[in-house]
Amino acid sequence: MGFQDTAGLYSAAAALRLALFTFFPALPDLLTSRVEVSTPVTSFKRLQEGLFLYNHNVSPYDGGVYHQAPLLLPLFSLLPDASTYPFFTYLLYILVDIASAHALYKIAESGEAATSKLFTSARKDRQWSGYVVAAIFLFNPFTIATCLGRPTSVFTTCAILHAIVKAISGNPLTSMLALSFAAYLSMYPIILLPPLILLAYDRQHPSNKTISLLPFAGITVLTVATSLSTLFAISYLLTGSWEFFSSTYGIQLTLTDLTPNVGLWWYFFIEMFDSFRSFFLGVFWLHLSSYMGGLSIRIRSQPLATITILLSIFSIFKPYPSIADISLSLAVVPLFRHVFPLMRYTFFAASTILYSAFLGPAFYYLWIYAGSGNANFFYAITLVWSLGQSLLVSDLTFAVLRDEWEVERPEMGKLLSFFTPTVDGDEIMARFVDDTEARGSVLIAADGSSSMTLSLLGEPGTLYALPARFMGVTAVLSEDEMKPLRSINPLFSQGAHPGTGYFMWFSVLSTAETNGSLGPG
Amino acid sequence: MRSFLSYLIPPLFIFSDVLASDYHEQLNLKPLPQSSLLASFNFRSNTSLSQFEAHNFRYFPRSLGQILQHVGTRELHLRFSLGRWDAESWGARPWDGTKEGGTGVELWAWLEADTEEEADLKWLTLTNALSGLFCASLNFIDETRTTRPVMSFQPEGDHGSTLDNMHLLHGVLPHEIVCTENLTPFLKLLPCKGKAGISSLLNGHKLFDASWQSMAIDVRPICPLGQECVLQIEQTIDMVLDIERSKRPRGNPIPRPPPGHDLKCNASKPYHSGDTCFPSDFAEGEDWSLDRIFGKSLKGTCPLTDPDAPPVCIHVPERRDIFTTPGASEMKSPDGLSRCYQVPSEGDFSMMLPRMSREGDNAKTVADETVQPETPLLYAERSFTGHGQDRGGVQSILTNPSPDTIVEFVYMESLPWFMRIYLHTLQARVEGTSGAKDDIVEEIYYRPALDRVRGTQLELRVRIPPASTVFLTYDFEKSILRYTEYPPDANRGFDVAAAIITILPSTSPGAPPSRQKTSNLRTTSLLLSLPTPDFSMPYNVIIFTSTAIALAFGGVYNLLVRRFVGADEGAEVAGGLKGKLTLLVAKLSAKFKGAKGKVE
Repeated sequence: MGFQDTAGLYSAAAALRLALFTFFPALPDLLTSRVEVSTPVTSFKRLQEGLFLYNHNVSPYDGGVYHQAPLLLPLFSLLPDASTYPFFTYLLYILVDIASAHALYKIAESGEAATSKLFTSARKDRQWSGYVVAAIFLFNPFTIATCLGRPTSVFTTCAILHAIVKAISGNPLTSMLALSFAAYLSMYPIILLPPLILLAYDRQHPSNKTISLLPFAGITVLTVATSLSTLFAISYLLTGSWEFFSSTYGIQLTLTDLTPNVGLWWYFFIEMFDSFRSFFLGVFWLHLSSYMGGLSIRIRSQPLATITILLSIFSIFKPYPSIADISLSLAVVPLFRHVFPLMRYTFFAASTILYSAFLGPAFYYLWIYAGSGNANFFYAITLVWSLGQSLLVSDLTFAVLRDEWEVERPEMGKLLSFFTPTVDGDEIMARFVDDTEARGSVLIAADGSSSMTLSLLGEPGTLYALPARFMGVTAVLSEDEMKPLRSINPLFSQGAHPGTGYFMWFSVLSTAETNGSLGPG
Repeated sequence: MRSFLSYLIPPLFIFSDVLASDYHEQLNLKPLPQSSLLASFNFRSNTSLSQFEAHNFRYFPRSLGQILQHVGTRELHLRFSLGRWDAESWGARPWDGTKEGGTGVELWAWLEADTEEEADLKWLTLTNALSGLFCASLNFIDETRTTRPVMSFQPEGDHGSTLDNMHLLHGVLPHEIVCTENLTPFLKLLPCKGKAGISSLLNGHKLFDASWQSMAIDVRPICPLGQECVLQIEQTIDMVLDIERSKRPRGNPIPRPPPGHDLKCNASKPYHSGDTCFPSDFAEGEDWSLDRIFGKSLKGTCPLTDPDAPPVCIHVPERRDIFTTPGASEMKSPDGLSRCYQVPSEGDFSMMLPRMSREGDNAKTVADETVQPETPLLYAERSFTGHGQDRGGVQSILTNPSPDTIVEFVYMESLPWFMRIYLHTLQARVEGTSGAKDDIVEEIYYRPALDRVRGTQLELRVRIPPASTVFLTYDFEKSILRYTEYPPDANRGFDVAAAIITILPSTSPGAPPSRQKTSNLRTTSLLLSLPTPDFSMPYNVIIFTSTAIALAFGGVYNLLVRRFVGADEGAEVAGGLKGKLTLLVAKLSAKFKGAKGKVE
């Protein structure tokens, strides 16, 4: 789990980004201006405007442009001016990407996705290594585009991933600090608190295992509250007023800026009737936060799965989503490589997402620049984009639940694919078609006439054709009609004809309906 | 009428100080190049402040006076403007641009109030009252269109110590179309109400047909040294008429191609000959008369006006022939560039400027016809850059034509909130003089817009070196609005108010008199097109989006609330709620049957 394994990967990713920054100097600004990359609450251009106002002693929150957290201002003030020395900004964003990738690497290497404290998947050996997961994140075109577009959501991504990795490694307090920072930057990550508490609780150091869940949750919530209040107090000291609250978080609650983005909110609230606006804002937020409880309870044994599903849901349903959110969601989903075979609509969901990723910019162009389309074009594609992602989410949920169920009910739905003695020869390992396996000292095949076990042994179980014909008849007879037969034998009789080889056999069965032994009622 | 007034007026003059309360009107005509005529009407009346406060309004219009008293307005400026002043050919603006507004309606006033909130409330009352008085949509000057300029406007009147609790508020309605219904109340404020004197020439058909026009009302207190303070109302109408267009008869207003022999040709073209004609853009040496271009003659003088001041003046060179109706006396100014006419107090007055022959013994040149217009201190142009409906830029080109003087001015923009400007992209680039430094912006006052609350206010103090051009550019983003916030003609776009440029008086002691006072100019207004949603879609969007959310929510919760079983176990475990209910019903019916049995 050292840095050496991944140094090559990280330098390749950094080199790719630096090359893009260097050889396409217009690309960062082009991506910054794209609605798919920059939202009103993350845009780099708005950050620069806020920074400009901040450096000229105008409150950036007394205006409609800057809606980002106050602490970003001194951070970026320390950097040399982004328009004259963009290199330092690029470097910062590359480093943040690598820090996120390293967190992902550690999450994947911990194996938490398949082996949590309360649950061990039968497919745990099918996981991807941290190297692969980190590479998928770093070379995802969405991640690269996000890095070049420089939205501030990358800091939220980095903080969320570090909150997870710290929770897994048994540092609940650090994890809560990281989560507070994410929530401070973007507000919505606070919804991740319950599953993260569960994750941190499950992964505590064995030394302090005595504490039960409720006090533990109390302490962690208190930590988050304290660190958030500290961050708010620092922000107040920085800006000199509480204006940043309504500007940074109020806008996410009231959606006053309706700039188009890849989500569902903007067009809905453009077209919403004024009298229902607040009601639907409430409904949308309620919907976004409703998944937290259900998922945390139902998938209690796998808090990381809950977090993954929640992150994917955020990238669809948060007020100002961008491709930075889907890059985070696509970064954590590969942790669950082992349940991919259980997903049913991967092809459909993947092609929907791909198709809308290409058509979205085209339709935006038709609407805004060419004028040959209208707003519905872009709206329709965001609808498809969201549907594709929600299909992926529900499919992943299904796969995780099915994986859990197969551990509960190992007998269900198993089909042997092959078996082989283990290397040391002590045991037999049987692998099933759903990529699970079982080990034991004896393999008993009770799988019927067309037995897989037999065919694997080279003696495929078949049916033999006998040179005989057989015909059976059943007849219901009355007591009188039965008498001649009963006179032969009260139960059964059989006999063979020596000349023809015919064989005859009959049996008599007296049932309750006919012999009158059936009681009344 | 005259006899009635003559009885009425002498007693009035006896009881008041003539200096403190007078009325003055004058029409200044100035032929401009390209066959245009600038007509400036100026009406000014004073009333002493003490009389005004005692509700003795005299020549001050009562309707306006009562509004001003009610809301504690100390100084008021109202402008109704239309068209574009072509500075390149017409030169400097009349009144140094101080009596013109941006396209549409512009209002600024100094209100007396203790707090900003009180000033806002008074401003609201003022705009609503003026809206009713002038039949203009001034009531739409809400908080998003109101600014409090910091550097651009200075009070014109003498306020003394009251200045401390005065609040300057400024509002523009660039979309307002100025028309006849605004002229009628304007004329009603005049003592002679358009019935006599120079105001009898004013006619909506001519005024709003002008290439450029500006109606202004200025109310300000003036305290001459050692005399009582007076409240002065000055009403001004400036218009630039296209002489040829104005001469078109009312009964036959549709322009038709003139017959070949009447065609005016541009003889400077090389191919000009007897059978080829390149029509000239404008007729040179056009003859005109006052009654033809205004559609009627001047009806005597207003009996209330100062009898010594000549009511009509014209700025033409000495050699220009002018004929007037009999009874008028001509007074030439010593510099030979203007002459004024004393008009008979009764009867019609008109003046005629005949076509001046360019040939023959007494040939006249252009210089004999019009006075060469003055070069303005500054040329300003403003336009949008970029394409598409999500972002753009604004470029203002400001040129200092003077070869030796520096021009210092304040450039003020008040932009609507849905035009989201990025101040960090503001750049001022100088072209012209070599070695000019780029940091010509000396001071910036910026108040960013807040969505749906207030617009952007940007004031820049700039110094332009001589003979150079400044390019001011900045980027902005176009917001998309809620569908109810668009006007009915959403795809026409939104008007963005003119930038107001206030040229500051020169600080050097040897500056010419024209440089020692503040002058103004305004750019044209701009048309901003915003991205529009589909206005017919609200139900569809609500339904589609809700469906997408329901699918996701259903997809996830359908899994979360279910227990997984094998397909063959379905019936047996179908228990759950349904099974429990069946059991309960069976129990109940058994009890019921049992009870029934006991009774029997």
